[in-house]
Amino acid sequence: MDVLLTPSGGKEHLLLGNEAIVRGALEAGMAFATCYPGTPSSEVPDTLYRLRKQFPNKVKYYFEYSTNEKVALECAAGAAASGVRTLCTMKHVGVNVAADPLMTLAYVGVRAGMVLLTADDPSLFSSQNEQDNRYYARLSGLPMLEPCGPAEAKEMTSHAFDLSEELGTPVFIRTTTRVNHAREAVKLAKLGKVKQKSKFVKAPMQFVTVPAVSRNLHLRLLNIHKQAAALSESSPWNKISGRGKLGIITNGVSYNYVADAVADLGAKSKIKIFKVGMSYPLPEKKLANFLKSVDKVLVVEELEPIMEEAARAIAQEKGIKVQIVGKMPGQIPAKSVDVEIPKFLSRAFEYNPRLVRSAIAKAFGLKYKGTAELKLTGMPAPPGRPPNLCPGCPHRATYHAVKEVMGDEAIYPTDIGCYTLGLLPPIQAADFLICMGSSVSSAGGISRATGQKVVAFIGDSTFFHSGITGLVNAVHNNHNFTLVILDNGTTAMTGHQPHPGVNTDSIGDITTHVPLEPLVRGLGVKHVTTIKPFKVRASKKAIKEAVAHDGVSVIISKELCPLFAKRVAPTSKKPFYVNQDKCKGHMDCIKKVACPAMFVEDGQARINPMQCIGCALCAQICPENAILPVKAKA
Amino acid sequence: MKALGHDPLDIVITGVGGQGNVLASQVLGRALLTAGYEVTVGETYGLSQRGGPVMSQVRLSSGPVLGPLMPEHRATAIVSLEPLEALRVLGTYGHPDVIVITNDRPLRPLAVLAGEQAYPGDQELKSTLASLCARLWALPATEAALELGNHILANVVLLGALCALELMPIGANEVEEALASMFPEKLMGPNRAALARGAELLKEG
Repeated sequence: MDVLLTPSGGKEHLLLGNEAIVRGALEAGMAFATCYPGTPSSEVPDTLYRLRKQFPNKVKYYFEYSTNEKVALECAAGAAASGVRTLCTMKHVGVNVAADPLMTLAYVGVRAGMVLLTADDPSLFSSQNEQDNRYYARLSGLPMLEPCGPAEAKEMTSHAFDLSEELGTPVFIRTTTRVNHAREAVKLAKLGKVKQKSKFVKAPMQFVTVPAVSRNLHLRLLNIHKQAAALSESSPWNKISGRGKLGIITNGVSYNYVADAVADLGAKSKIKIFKVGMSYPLPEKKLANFLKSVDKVLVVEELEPIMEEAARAIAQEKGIKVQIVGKMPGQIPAKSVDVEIPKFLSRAFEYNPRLVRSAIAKAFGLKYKGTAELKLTGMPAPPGRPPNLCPGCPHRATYHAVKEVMGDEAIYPTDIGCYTLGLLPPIQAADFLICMGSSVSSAGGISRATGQKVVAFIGDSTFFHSGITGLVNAVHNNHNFTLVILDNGTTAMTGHQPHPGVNTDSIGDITTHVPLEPLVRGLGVKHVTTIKPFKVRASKKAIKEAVAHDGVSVIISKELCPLFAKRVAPTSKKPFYVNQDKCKGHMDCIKKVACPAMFVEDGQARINPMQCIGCALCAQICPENAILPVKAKA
Repeated sequence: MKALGHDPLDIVITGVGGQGNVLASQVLGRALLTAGYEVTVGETYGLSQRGGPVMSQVRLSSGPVLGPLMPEHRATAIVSLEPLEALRVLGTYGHPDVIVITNDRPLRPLAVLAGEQAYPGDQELKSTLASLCARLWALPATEAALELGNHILANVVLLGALCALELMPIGANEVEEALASMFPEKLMGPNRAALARGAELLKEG
């Protein structure tokens, strides 16, 4: 039995932030969950999926990986309007995809508790931007709770269902990577009772948003906001600790850095901390009293100066003479966090304990008497270790074939997944990327505007997520480019979640498989070819034909992700080796393929048999035919 | 409950994606929690799962729960599954009193494999690491793991070495129990052997 399904409460367990959110939902009696996976949110749906699969008789909720976040939120909205407690999870940029239903779901509200998790990613560990989704609470008018760590994440998630039901509106839980991916002791409460089924009660004057209805619903939303603002004043999540005439207002994981730093600085008797947990609507009266009670306030919040602006507005409105400092007016770090860890509070990148400590010391004129720091002058700079495609990754083979045919002249819009690593040398087949699905649609724009040859890349999961409409658009508007769908049979980057194109038999799911090729043909694409990317010559031939086609052509490059295949369809391919008598040191294998299983020794290529999985790509590239499979032991 | 020699006690576990350092930190976290300590584990990964650096931090205190990140230059000990990654982490979390236990088996980044960048020589790397910390143990953890049948056990070998340091308020027994709560009994034989081998390696110096 998994600890997350322990029926009784009381025990403490070390839980990941995302597991704590799952437990919180189960303690609240969640009956329905939808998502689109994405770091740092993925372990929430992955845990729900795993529990349902491992313990089908114990688990009482419905769960699905939806095709994208918009679909996930709409599906969840239907369930919540029907009266069952619902969780919907996504990463921060996923909320952009779901923003359309979100804004009007806020109008119609819910009939049972509904929680929307937005997992933000300051410092962009695995994202295309670091937008601050606290703005979505303000844009939609929905309440928002922000936990500082796993224990609070569990409590808040559970509470958010009650709050949502009380207000009749969805509630946001907003986390950041450091909360999702931290582990700490979480004390369990009892599992909640689950209302699994309900009945949809018709109420078109609430749920059908024609203008005349929505005018009333906007007023409904504003009234709920007023009610939520009152709840925020007394919310247990907005709490003040410590004493003194200096104040810090903070939220989320920054609270931990502040608490650690105040202790480090020996300033516990001088500084009091306002920890904002219900961050929308803000508890304005409570904040006003806090501002009145101190001489100077520092606001410590990652990304946008939302609470800082609010504090300034409150002080101005109430005529409170308190000095407020934070990140405004807005100093900008000179360099990316990859090059230099920021030295001052700004709107860019995540904060860290030293940065917060020095900001507090500076704001309040305190001295830090800590341990000596290491002088690192003269330390050799370690060579970088950028991520790369795995040994035997089929994307490498597809990229190789396309580059052999198209060279560097073609424009390569790309998309979001492991294959985005095609940006790096030697592949360098990535020219444009802004979001999931942008490869397909931007390809039309680039080819129309320039007449240049365009070959776009998209993964199978991403194609289902948001490539389909772009492809229909391209067919309808007679665009002219080739789309390569990198079909590795799974959602590899985020941890091998299923999607509609996955062969469900292989993973024992009861969902329905939507095969890619008939789908693409059904969208109206005339030239569609499925290739096996490790058959290099045949692949190149198919690509040549596809790019010669006038109009939209699609290549489906079909080969399982080797990490996924290891689990669902293990093969016994032999690793390869380089015959040293034959290798003349052309280095085509190394230069064109960049496989982590290969290395250079004595001017020749070598293969690490521990890493090679026998994909045979390099063997087909070697001009001397010097790369051969290791023979079975005699 | 034993008093902490260092309070807070901050341990960095680092390595390359796929080496099992997140698992090692989870095992340590479980063992410490079971022993009654306040423990926070922070994990740093992302795209790094595809062969990039992965770091996790285990923070232990007798007092309130700490944040998931330790301040820069404040690690008590650094455990690294790869020697170059020990050097990288030292730059951010090191200080003259830090203790370093590292696997001595390099995993060369792609640009090094392709001959475009240089990986420091074994001796150069060891002496650099030694000069940046109070005590360095460069142990053949991968070699030991391979002798036990699977290179993936290198993380448990290093946990065994870390326990033998007696820096933490728990020892190999508690770590073994945490492992046993996560793995089926049939995998515990090699895990126990790996813990014991790590302790031996540390004592051999």
